[in-house]
Amino acid sequence: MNVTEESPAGGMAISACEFAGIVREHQAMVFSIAYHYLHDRLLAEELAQDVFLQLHQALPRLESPAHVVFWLRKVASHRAIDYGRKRKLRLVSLDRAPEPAVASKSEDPLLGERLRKLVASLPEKFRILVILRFQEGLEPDEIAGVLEMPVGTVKSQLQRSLAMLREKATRYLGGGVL
Amino acid sequence: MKKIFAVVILICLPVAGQEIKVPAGFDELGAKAKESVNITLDRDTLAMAGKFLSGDKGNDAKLKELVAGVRAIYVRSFEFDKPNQYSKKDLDAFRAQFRAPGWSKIVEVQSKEDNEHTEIHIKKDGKQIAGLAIIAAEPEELTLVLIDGPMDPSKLAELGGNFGIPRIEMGPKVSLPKD
Amino acid sequence: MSPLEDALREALARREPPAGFDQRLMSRIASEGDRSRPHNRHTRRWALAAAVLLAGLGLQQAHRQREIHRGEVAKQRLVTALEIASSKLQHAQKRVLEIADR
Repeated sequence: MNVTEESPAGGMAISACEFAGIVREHQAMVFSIAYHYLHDRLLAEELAQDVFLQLHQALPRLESPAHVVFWLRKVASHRAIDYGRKRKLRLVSLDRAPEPAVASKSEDPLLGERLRKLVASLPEKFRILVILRFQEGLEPDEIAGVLEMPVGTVKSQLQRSLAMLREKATRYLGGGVL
Repeated sequence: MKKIFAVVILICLPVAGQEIKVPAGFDELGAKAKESVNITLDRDTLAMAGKFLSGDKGNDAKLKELVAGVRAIYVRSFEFDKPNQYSKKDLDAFRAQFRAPGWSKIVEVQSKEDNEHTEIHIKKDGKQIAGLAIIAAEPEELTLVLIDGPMDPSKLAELGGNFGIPRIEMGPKVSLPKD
Repeated sequence: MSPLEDALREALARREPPAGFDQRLMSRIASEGDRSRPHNRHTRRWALAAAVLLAGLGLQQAHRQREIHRGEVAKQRLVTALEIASSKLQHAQKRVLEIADR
């Protein structure tokens, strides 16, 4: 799916400092959507840069900070799906850069990485749903707005995603507690 | 006519002072596998990784302690979308190397029902563990793990013990021979 | 929320992009700005100034970044290797228990 935004002629100038501030505020969100979808740090950075370049063009048309966040989630999600279709994803990809360090609250230092890999192995539509639900904390109706899907479909696909993850966790991780 | 089966040796991995030979057929499995993992961590890479493991934070500290003194780690893991993609003869030839002096098989689990076979071997240097080998064979998956250096298998197993499986002793106890 | 959902929330926590992300982005905007927008000297001056300032800070980090990258690659490979080994050991443990229970 391609999302294109055209820059209006004579758009309002945005100062570089203001834009840099917007980038710093939202870069973790955009990068994380990309990273959790693609499980590839270099590709995720490339995607995130593309999203912000596109935002730089579209910013004059956006109406509020909330609109910016909605726009970023939508474009990042659609771009992630596009990027994912262009390459074959593998559950484990050793040639890519590693994931950035995040302190884990879990007692198991490997659980987070295992789950991220399982998420990255889900079918594309399920994967982005899980990311928007559990990374961004969006409710199904908000996810439906971002992905332009019916709410009912979001709910049923989320349930199927979790069932699939539970089955994969049992199969690959020997899980019982999940 | 007798069939002559030759295993062409391509890769030699030093483990616990011994060259462990990985049959060439195993490294070609990557092309057939739907998922594969090929990791070789030598001493320098392990040292570099160790610098990025924080010694005072719980999880990193556990990992750092676990790999202290380890000289190399090798992992070859292949998952196939149908059975019988790897050679049983190659696997038997690989396993046979762990009957060499110094190696002890501490666990062997076989399930004829599921056609699964897992072996865990350790190499001892006096009273110390100097090497660990895990060979896990299933119809659609083959995993080899070789660790050169001191590695406590029970601590390694505990690393991910958070899945509803009770923490247990690591199978039969290893009794090191008295000098 | 189930344990799986709690674990997912933690596993999918937001993470910062690699250091220098914003610097690289601002540099690209400074170099690409003229192609996509009408000429605006004011905007370009500020974008270039921001890019130069941020890039200056970034130069000092370039070497460190390479070291961090290599170290993170090594750490990730180590974690993956130990993950695989640990899961195989646990599987064997589980089988031993199952047999012992029969």
